Amino acid sequence: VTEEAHNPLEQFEARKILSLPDIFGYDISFTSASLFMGITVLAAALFIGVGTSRKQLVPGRLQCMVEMIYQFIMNMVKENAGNEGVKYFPVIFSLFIFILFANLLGLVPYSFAVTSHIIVTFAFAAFVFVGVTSIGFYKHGLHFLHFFVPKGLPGGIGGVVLAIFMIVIEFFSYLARPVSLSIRLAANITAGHTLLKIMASFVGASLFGVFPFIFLLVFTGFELFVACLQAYIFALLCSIYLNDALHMH
Amino acid sequence: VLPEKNEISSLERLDSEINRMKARLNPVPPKKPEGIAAAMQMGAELLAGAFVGGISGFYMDSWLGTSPFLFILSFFLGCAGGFLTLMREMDKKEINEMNETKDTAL
Repeated sequence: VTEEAHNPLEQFEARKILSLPDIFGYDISFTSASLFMGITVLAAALFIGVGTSRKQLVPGRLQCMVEMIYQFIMNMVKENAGNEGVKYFPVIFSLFIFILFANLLGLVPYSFAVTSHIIVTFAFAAFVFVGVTSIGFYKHGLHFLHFFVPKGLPGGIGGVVLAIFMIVIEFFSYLARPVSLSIRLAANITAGHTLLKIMASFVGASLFGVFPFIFLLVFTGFELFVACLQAYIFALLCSIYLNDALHMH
Repeated sequence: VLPEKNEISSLERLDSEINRMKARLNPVPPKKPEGIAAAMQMGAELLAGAFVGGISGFYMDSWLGTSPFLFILSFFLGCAGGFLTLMREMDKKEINEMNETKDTAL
């Protein structure tokens, strides 16, 4: 066993599978990350496709699972973004199902956790951010800028100074949204996988390896929970941001 | 027997009408994540605010050549932004809890 085999961060390294020529100076090689993103999409599509292929009145197990997830996300969107938000349900549902499958597939031994890469999660978050901001401007026009002006400011010069100050802070807090959205997901998945790996390296150390092994068992279950929870939080925050853009607060 | 039945149905109608009006007067605020979901949401919010403030300050500095003043200013403004988000989340959570206790009291 080499030294590198025990490096807990090695699992997050994207390895080149198929080298491709650079395009505009960007390396577009097919990596393990690309492979597992492809597998995630396929698995999710298969799950939904097979689950809804035999539309039975009394659903089987698979159809039941698909319907439950659909209902769950639909209710979440309705609750948080209102009936107008249902128009954007397909996007939120796709995001949820992709992140859920990426998180769960990442937990399979020897696989690759796509959502541990901040560039992947940030791409989603930035997409949501740009989309939601465009919806806000499309729906409210320049009135959407009132979103950054807090209510209940005092009058006079003091009020103006405070307003400028608050608008800057509000603007930063708005810009922080995609960053917090992406950091949360990537950090949770990275932390979980790193801890699993570190604990796993203790198992073979001695006879007392039984204890880290028990911990590992319990923690794997917890990681399954985190995988689902993080996908849910991502979708939930997307619908909350959508609500802000549709209705302003 | 018949008039009684009518009475009940009209009372039910009145009840549903009252509920509808009540719902229109105080719309239910959107539900926020609870428990562990809320806790996980909070930490990243603070971090992201400081991060965005710092990064944008750094680039504004190198653009305008005012290092390090804009970096310091926007770092703290970013932190304030993070706190603002946090406070807002907590406020909404409190409103949720208040509504829940009100419901159980009734």
